[in-house]
Amino acid sequence: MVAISQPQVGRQTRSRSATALRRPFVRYAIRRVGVFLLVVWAAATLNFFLPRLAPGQDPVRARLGTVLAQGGSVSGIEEMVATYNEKFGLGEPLWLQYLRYLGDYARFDFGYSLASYPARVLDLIGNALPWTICLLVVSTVIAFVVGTLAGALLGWTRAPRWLGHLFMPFLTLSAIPYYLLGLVLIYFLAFRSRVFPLSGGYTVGTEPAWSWEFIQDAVTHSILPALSIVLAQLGFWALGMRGMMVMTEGEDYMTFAEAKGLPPRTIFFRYAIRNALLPQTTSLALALGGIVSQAVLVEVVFGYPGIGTLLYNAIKGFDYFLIYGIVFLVIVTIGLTTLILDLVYPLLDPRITYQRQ
Amino acid sequence: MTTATTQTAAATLRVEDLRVQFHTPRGVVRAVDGVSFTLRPGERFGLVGESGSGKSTIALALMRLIKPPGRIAGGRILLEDEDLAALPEDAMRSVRMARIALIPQGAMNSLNPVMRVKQQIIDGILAHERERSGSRNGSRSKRDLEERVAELLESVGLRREVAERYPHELSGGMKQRVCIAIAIALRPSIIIADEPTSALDVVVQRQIMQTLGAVQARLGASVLLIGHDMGLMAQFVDRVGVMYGGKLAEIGPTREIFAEPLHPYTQMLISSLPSFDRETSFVKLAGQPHSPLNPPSGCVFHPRCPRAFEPCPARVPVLREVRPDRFVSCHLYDGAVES
Amino acid sequence: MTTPLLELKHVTKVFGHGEGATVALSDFSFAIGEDAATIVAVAGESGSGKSTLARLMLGFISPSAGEVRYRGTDLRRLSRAERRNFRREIQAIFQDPFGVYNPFYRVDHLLTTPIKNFKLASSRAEARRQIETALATVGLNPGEILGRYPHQLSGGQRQRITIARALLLRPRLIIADEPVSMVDASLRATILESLLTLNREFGISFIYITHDLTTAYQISEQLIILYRGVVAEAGPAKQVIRHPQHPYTQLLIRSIPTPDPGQRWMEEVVASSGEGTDAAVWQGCPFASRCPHVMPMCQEERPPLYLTEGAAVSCYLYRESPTIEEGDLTVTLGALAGAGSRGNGSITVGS
Repeated sequence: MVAISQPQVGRQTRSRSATALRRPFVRYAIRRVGVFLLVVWAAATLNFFLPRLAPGQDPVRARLGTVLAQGGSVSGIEEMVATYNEKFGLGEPLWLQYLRYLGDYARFDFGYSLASYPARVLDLIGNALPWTICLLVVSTVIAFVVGTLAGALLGWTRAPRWLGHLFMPFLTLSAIPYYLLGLVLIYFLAFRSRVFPLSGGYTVGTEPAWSWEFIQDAVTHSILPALSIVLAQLGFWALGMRGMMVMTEGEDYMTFAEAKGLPPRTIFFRYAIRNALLPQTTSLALALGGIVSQAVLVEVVFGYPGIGTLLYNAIKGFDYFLIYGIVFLVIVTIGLTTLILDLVYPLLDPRITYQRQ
Repeated sequence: MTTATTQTAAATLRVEDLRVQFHTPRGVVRAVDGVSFTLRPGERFGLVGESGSGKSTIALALMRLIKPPGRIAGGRILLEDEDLAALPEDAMRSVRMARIALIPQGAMNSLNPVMRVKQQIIDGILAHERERSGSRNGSRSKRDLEERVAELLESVGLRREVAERYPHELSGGMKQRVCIAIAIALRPSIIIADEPTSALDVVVQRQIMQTLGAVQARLGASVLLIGHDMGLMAQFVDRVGVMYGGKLAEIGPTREIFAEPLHPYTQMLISSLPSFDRETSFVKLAGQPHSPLNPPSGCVFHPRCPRAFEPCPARVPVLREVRPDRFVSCHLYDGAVES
Repeated sequence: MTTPLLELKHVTKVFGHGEGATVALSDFSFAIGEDAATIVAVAGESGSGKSTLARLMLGFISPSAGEVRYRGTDLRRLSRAERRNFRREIQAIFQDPFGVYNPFYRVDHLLTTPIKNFKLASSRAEARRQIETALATVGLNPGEILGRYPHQLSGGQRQRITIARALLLRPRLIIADEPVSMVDASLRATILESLLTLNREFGISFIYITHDLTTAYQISEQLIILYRGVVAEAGPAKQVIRHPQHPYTQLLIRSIPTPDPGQRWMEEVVASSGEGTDAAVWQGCPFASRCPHVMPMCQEERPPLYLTEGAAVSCYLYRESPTIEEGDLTVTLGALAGAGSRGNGSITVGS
């Protein structure tokens, strides 16, 4: 695992560190990827066994029952049950089913959606994911950049005085949940003044296409949800960064940098921000990893056609296979972002080494 | 009457009646309260005192690095007839490192942990060259700069490869050598060393002080050494000033002060020093330093002074030259002033 | 000989493994008995292994080889009751008197907790009386101290409160790791004096761990000089400091700046601290690369401890003298102390 290197202890390694740096990295990376695969495998396994542990619960039959009770047509469902029985070989022993399942998941084949059969789970996710990525990743990154910079200035003793007045608004914003903020924004900017559309990812009736009109339409639709996310997260990033800046400013190397006669701009960017940013980076990676689970509330509030809405509808409609697919995706995303963070972090902070303690 | 402010004509740095105050919610702390001394060309001058005596505040004040709630509340800092205390911040920035350089406390944390040694030397050099030439890239090529860094590192006893290292890859002694290299990079006329060896082992301390002495001699710079260790002062500086409660108690040549301390506080300090030759090695300093918020009246040392008499609680003593080159701030010598 | 209170038998501690491994302490043996309270100073530079030794003795870390025994039992095999006794009889005082305080509690909390944990008092009044006595013993006025928060106290007061806390438990041994390195010179004497009081009046032994030979000289009876995890020299403190025999001890003592301006401290050239020496050093004497008297044999095998006049020295310069087993260091120190001027084992300090 990643370990803080100890200055006094590493005497022997120090002289060789320049050449030896690469080999420990390869060993570390292999180990770290191994851990990642292990996590994904464990998640997939839980995904497989949990529903089967529930007594007398056959998701396919349960769904069938629901639809029947609602007086729906059963023709498609019967076809689906047949497909599943064949596909999973439900008569086969459990271990064979399990192996087959693992093989499918390794190829990201999550099977069919129960609610919108014959649509495949992967296709549904594939349709929804770009919306979520565009909305949440972009707005999270914007909030991170703006919030971090504002926080850095808030914690910087030589920043202009008026910046200090931002502290209270940030504190307030960070305390408001973004779906609540979203409702307020909808009320004023969409319901009352009709500047922005009320909900959805694009105007009802249009088909998603790579045309200029459609992109414009989609951007207009994304502004309100994006604004609610940015505003709500701004305070979080700003307050975190402000705290780190205040701590960094107390460090001896800041005084020494000033004693070297460095201009404030250099001290701010190369000494203060550079060091205060390190913990923020960890938070950013975790925030990006958790984006799919974050998406649910904001997308539902804004009726946005992303993963969050998909998951919400899947849960409402007992669409087990879709739920499994999305949960699996969430786990892979979180695992992947922490994997990338762990591999990249030593580049950001040279004190972190790949050596095992 | 001769006062400290007019002691010698030749002076690299002349500090006159320097006052530094910290405004705290519980009142004003006069950390440095009317301190005057000169730094002569090429000399090693020491300021010694316990924590809270104001010695480290003076180092920061001379660099104009006092942060709120502290401020320089009065006095002059004359560097070649230019008053640093009155200089605009931009002009002061070009003085730092180029004319007055600081070697920080040997507390291991003075170098930026995420920058290579090389970068931390170069950014200081470049900041000043840009200022002078007005251009963004300065005058020298990258290779010239790296060669200069290598020479600087070698001049403080480090291998040139150290340039590529990060601070955590260096020992405490090596880090402090890097700080010395940075301090001498622009050939300043004054080097302020604030407890440069406080966290280092004795053997390393001696090597660092020898290195500092050698580079100082090469540059012909003056050194202001700030510390609490009378032994280190005795070995390194030519003259020493003893600080107590934000004021100078005594200034004089090191040899004379150790041979015959005049101020009762200096006497106490020197007699309490342990010695391996004497069996009696356990002399305590009587009493405790006063609260900085509530200094005693008159002479700040009088509550602890074994020789206090009538004028001490009433009048603040003035630093006077009572013998050639010996300055004392004590009522015992009120009559001994040379005219 | 009775079972010692705390005993280290051929203790080695290695940190890390593979190429990056560092030997922090190498084959160290020593014992603290109960019969006579003593103060043993362990001195060395950073990286000498002195703090590792303290942590081993307190059971914070386990040795890589060898055993640390409390009353004859390996620390790793103590029963619950024995461990409890160990935690009471062996106390620690650390460098940073700020670190052990929870800023939200009054200092009373720090003092009453051990009384409660070890059920030392039968009533509140009894507990209070014990605390007041302990504070008075270290020279503090209970009325000024109790009821206060840590930030309202000076560094010297805090460090003396930790000493009073240790005293409450009536320990047999206190391991003091750099207890005065963060306090001002004027307070240093006061704290050292408290340690001496505990030693003389309550019969508590001390392992005084320090980088500062001056304070070691002031309070300790015996002195062990460590260099890179190995004993360089050991003997009665005054003997070792006034007549150092190991070249490293000599270097250490000459490096202390004295208040005598005639010392020529700045002139003598000091050997570099051997930055970048590798593990091969461990074959021979760890000091060989810096030693002005180095001989070929020094690089081949590590010198044993030789019993010279007055001290145990690990250096081939003294190879004419009889060797002693490192396990016998305690016995040797005892014999050396007996032969010295202060046969009763107590030290005379003060004016």
